[in-house]
Amino acid sequence: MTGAILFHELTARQRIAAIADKGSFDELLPPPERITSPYLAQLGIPVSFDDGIVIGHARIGGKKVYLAAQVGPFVGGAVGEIHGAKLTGLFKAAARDKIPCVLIVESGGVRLHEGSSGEIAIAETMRAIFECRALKVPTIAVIATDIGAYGGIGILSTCCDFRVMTEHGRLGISGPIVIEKWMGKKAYDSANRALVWKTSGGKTKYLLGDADALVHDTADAVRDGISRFLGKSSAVSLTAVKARQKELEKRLKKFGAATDPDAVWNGMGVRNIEAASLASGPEFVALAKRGK
Amino acid sequence: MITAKSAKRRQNKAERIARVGKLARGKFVVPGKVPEVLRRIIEPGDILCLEGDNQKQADFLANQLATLDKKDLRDIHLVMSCITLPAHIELFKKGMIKQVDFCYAGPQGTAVADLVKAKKFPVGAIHTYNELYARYYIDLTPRVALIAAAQADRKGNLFLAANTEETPAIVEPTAFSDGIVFAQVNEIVDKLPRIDIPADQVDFVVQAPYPMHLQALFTRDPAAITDVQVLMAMVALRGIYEKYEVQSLNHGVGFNTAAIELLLPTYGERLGLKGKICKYWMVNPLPTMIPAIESGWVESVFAVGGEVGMERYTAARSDVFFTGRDGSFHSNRAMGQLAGHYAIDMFIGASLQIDINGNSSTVSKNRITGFGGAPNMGCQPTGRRHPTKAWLKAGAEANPGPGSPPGRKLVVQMVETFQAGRVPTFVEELDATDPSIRKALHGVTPVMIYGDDVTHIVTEEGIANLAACRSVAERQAAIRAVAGYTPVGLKRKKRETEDLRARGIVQLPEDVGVRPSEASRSLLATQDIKGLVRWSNGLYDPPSQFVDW
Repeated sequence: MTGAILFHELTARQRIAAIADKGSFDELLPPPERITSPYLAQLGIPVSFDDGIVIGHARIGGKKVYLAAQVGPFVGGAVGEIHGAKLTGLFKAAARDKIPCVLIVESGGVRLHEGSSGEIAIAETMRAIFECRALKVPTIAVIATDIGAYGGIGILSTCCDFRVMTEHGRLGISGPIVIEKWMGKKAYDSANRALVWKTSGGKTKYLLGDADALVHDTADAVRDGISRFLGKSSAVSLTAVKARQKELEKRLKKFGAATDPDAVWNGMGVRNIEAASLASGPEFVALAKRGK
Repeated sequence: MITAKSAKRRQNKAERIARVGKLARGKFVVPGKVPEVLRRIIEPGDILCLEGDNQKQADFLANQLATLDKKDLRDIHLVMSCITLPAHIELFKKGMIKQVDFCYAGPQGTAVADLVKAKKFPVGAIHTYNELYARYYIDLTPRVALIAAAQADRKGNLFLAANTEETPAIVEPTAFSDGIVFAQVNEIVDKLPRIDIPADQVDFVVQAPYPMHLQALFTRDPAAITDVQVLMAMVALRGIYEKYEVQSLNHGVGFNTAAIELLLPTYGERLGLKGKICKYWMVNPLPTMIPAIESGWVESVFAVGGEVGMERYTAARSDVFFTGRDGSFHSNRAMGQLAGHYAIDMFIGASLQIDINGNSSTVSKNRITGFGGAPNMGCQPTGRRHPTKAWLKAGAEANPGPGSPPGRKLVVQMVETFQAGRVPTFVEELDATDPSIRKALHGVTPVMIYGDDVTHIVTEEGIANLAACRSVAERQAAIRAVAGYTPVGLKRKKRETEDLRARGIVQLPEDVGVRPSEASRSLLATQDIKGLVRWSNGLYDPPSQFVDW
């Protein structure tokens, strides 16, 4: 119960160091190059020498990968022009070199101070991801912190072949506060943390098939989760997309009117909600399976 | 005429109850009639006690009282532990209060400071808990007490559940002096799990339309503990707990001490301290104590109050906690404070401000809070006679004179050198010395713990052993030495610090065998609330604001 530092408590660089083979990470455009956001500077907002994302190449279990980690504490990990360009470039390089690309996500989406360039960068990155997928180069998003993957980064994460999540991770498009603003506190209380995690947290996303692996909140577990998918890719074909669409329609029919967040867990085969709430990673997976 | 006065008092009580007449059925009042009943039982000039400490509040009765006006009730001498609710402030705004004697005004601290400025807050004094309870038996005996209980039976017996807190300390002096006791209860039932207050001491009961307010006061989310706090906790464990073999203690409510609790089963175990320290506790059922209890560190815990969500856990661990015959948790604020005063080796807590002489305070010009129980425990009980290892060791260091006790309680202030927002903790002079505050308090500076009582100050810089200092100048130098980069700290002189360090009066982390680079949250027995639930085997039910699963 003690000893390991939780993955979600590490900094972006610590996460990379903990996942990559020892000493194998080479950072591209590292902080000494001081490539910073021109917009933030104009607005008098502090800049960061990595613009909130660390990119580079490394090895995981001996396998070459391109690896990136977003820096949540810097403007919520939001994507600006430089941040976005680094992200796009990394996936493009992955496609060019046919090397798997892993993104450790921690971002609320586009940076409002440089919205247009952020949006464009996310669109370009998605294109690069689909280029990877067409070439069967695996792309993996790791979502393991409560900043999670929202907005454009939520969409981008679901464009990847696979998603590895922990119970701390959250995945969605509109964040809880935005939903509450539009739908009212009665419909969705963003301060109700249990509700927020039951609807967008890693466990629920795993049950619904939006996450492909649910792992413990440790670097070892996350690395193992990534390794499982490094040799695989999931094809983008018309049949696959249509099948996915069918699945989503079924989901909407089944849970669209549900008001109790436990309904989704129940509906997906979780029998002992209390035990499942406390279980983590594979223990949760086992409990969910038992119900099926 | 020996009986004249008491006969008059008893007669007066009978008149008040007669005035209520058919508004009550026996002892029982319906919620809608409460304001009128209050108007009839309270007289101008009365000492009125409202139950409410920093956790439990007779909030329904307070809210009903606040619906009345000066024409209904005036010249009230209000006595109460904690001014916590907007309703309390209302009474002052309406001019119903002629004097107030209290302990603490946490959430309403700013409102109280405003009332003081507007001269609408006629303070008698700010007390510590037991000091105020003591005065209930001497010169502040309530004529009417409005209290809160979990349940009443049909006779008016009361069950106080986990939050006994200060109810007995209010009811006894009131009931045994022909005062009127009016209780709000969450439920009326046929049979109580246990009787905490006999019906004989209760005059009126109302089933409140909503359960009494209970503040989750002692829940500290391990996720919010910082590496710096872990460092301070390690330094305290080695430099104080281990050194003095502290067996019995009280912890404050801060994150610093929460870090210590969570280090016991990990770092503490590694140091081989299990069974040697931290066995007997006077502390509320802190959720962060669960790992230490589950690891077998703790012999017993007595509490001044309950903690929301700890009910099932404390019932299951009745070999550690005090429980009723029904198995449910029992607390008692007055007795707990008494235990914390006389029977513990160490009190350790935090403060917002510490001055150059070691005096501490939580009062600022714009926020008047007060004391609560910390000074009852954070002081030297000169009425103590029994020795313990820690008491004697600390006493010997203080080099007692021919007319002083041989031992000392360890009174430890554990603070970071800066508070949030880069506000320095260490100051040359406390904000509490502000003339307007002193004037409102009849010339008394509201000091939480006096420098003379403090034995140690722990910061992220190290430990200052104030008890071992031999002069005021030396004590000031020791405080500067651990005050870091605050203006107070920057005035330290290197030679003085080195001299104090050589004599062991100032100790840096490395002097007590702690490597700062080792201080990490990963040493904590758990890093989040969910981990506490796991440690408790699912018996701890954290309040919803802490739940994200």
